Amino acid sequence: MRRRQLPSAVVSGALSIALAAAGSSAFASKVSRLTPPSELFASGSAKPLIARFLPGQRFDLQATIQPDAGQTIDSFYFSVDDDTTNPAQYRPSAGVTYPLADRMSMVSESASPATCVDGGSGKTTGKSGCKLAAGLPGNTVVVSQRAYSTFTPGVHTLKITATQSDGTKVTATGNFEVFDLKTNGNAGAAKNIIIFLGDGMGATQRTAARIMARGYAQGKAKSLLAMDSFPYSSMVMTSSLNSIVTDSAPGMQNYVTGNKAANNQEGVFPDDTLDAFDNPRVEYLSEYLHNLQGKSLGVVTTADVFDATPASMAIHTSARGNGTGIVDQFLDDRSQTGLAVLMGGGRKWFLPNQSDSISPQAANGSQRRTANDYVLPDDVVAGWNVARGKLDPSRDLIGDFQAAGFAYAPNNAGLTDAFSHGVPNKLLGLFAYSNMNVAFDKIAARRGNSAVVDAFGFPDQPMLDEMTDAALKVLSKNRNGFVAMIEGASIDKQAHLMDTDRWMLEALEFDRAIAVGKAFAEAHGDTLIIVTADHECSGAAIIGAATASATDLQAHQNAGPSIVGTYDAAKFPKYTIAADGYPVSTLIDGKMLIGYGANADRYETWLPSTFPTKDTQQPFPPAQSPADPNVRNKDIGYFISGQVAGDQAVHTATDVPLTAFGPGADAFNGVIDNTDVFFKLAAAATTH
Amino acid sequence: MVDKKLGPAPAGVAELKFEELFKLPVGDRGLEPSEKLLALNGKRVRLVGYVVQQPAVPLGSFLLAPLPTAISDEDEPLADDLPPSTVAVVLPESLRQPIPALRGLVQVTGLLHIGTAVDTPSDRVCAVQITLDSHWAHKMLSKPIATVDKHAAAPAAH
Repeated sequence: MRRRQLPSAVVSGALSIALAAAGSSAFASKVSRLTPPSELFASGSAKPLIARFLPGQRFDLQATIQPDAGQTIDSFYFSVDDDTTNPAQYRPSAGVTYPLADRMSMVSESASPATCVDGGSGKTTGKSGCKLAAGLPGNTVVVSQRAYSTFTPGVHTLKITATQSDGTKVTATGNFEVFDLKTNGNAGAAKNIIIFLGDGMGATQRTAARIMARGYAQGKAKSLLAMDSFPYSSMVMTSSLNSIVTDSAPGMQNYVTGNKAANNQEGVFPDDTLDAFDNPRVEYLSEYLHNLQGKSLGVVTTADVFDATPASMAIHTSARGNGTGIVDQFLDDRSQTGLAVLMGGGRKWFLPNQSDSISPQAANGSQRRTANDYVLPDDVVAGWNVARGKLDPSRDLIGDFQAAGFAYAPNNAGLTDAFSHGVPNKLLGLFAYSNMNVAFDKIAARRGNSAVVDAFGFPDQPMLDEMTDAALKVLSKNRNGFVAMIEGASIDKQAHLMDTDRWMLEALEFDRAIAVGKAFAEAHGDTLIIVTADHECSGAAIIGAATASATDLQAHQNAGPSIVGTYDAAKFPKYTIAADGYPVSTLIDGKMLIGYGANADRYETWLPSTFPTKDTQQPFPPAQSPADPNVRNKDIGYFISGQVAGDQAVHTATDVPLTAFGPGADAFNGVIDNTDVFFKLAAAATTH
Repeated sequence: MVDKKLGPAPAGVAELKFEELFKLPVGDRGLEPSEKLLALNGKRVRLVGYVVQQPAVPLGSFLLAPLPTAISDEDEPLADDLPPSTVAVVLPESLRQPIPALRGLVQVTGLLHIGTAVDTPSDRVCAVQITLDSHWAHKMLSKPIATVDKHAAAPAAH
């Protein structure tokens, strides 16, 4: 294959100096950040290789340059492998224009208000309305070249060369690797890829779900969970770019970009500008395969759809909390990602929020705000061919999805209706205002106790297996195949709350969805499925089983350790599974007991979180409640001191199990990094 | 706090329940205020509910929900498990102080206002606000701010 050259492009322009003359310290020129990140740049060591990409995978080049005191940056260029044969200016060649200037930029405080650089220290202030993060020399410049890619496998050096106004050059060198797909087998065997993501689901959560759902006899599991039945497995290292303990943003995005992100960040590397949507991007698996092969993208979750895991399949932002911009970008950039299915909670981001000055007031529950919306700079728009975005809290996003051809389902009945005239081409499902109710409460509603779902106003929410079935029907209409991510989101959320019974049922709901995926894969033969987790949550451990009966547990809620049967006393907890696939009750004699290694202070009752006492004064008449009115949601139970501050358990750095099924699954063996998964998935999906 | 059966609401105060705020179940799109809620806009109401636990001590306002719930202090706080009918309870301007931790059922009496506004401590847009009556605000602020002392013995359950 012909080596693709990087035409160098230079951006010139005079910049005014934003630096106070008196009282400012002299800063020596340097490059303080080079992106993509590399250990070569950070410490001078060529290994380990931090940034890796597929052949042709797009990513942004960026550098933060701190010129000498009193100097500006007049021009810059990036060069890969010391290739500087092209002249400084981009130019048309053989009638083809290389429009690189429009994807290059320089960002500084030169045109900003005076408040953006502190007069005394000469450093940037990072105030609202400024461009750069606080604490940098006032003449700092962030230079970017967007959407670079190369097809040549191997390790490449990346060099930034910037020229100061006095002619001095400021340079720095880093490296990155392009993956050689030829080293991987399984070329092109997988038309479809399904990633089942159990948020917070470590080995304990999987084991506990198996014990509850399948039962053991004389030491043997009576049967396996769907996720257990996959023939290949790995242990996955989950750390993020900036910590051994990740959150759900890098936890997901590392799997589908092949690169590490910092905590809270999705589809981007860190930078030194304040704008959360202009960070240097990395192309997602969905974007890569949609552009290369025309694949569709499906995102299904039980969480609010703006949450980190679903967003980290398609959205590029350094702030996972930017709900309005995130949901807008799902729709706005569907031509890049191939989005065809989006289902979960989070309807509050899709409703128009009229200005407060409009009367009558619209009290529809919208959470849309200008403060967390997006507008992209020119270089990103040109480089990535994406929508610019708009600050539009009054947008009717559901209406816009429908206008774009998406069938809309507001509840389970609506989901069924959407298929009444055949399989829709695209599907949007928004079943709750924020997170969907958990399986424990959805199943209670289906069994006749709808107190909780009624209190939320959403009595007819689908189960994850029903959502998965609908999603796969829609996605499989695309002859080019699809990438799907199905998330069991509240395994993590309930583990944070240390509500054992609720996260166990979340894991069961998740496994039932996996069974739907497995049946699909068995029928189609060209579908690769992985079941994994972004991280483990709460340091959960199966410590034994209760030596007390269910009645005793309810009567003595502060019994604590005195009823924990360890070793032989744990025996084999036996749950009765109802026809709907969930336990008749989690409160059984000898119930399984979970301890938490990453816990906050709590009162442990060994029961699900209590609900309000049953009386007429309650806002709603819930049925799950202690009969005794003295027990009124005060702190009851055995006090257990936590290792972490606050009220909730935290994520842990422990490796998580991954199991795989289908063509390309045999690549998942041994201990791997979460970024390795990206290359194994891509290798299975592409011919080479 | 509601420790025993509440008497009727005082004169000039309308009793309001969470299930009466919006049309339930929620329709295809947004919340729709009920006739009763619209009629009470600008009037004094009494609402019984649970203070939403937040990771940081809120200043000057808190959230009230029909079920005991919490905003995550670890994962994404805006992806939450709050019922959509959650209201913002705002203290009078002169009493913008840290809100004490209150667990269990509480009653709130104050002036109702319908209209979107940002509740700063929780960083949420709320459709309904209640401005707490002064004397209730004073009474609430007299309680300790720190979270319940977890090292004290838990009350025995029976």
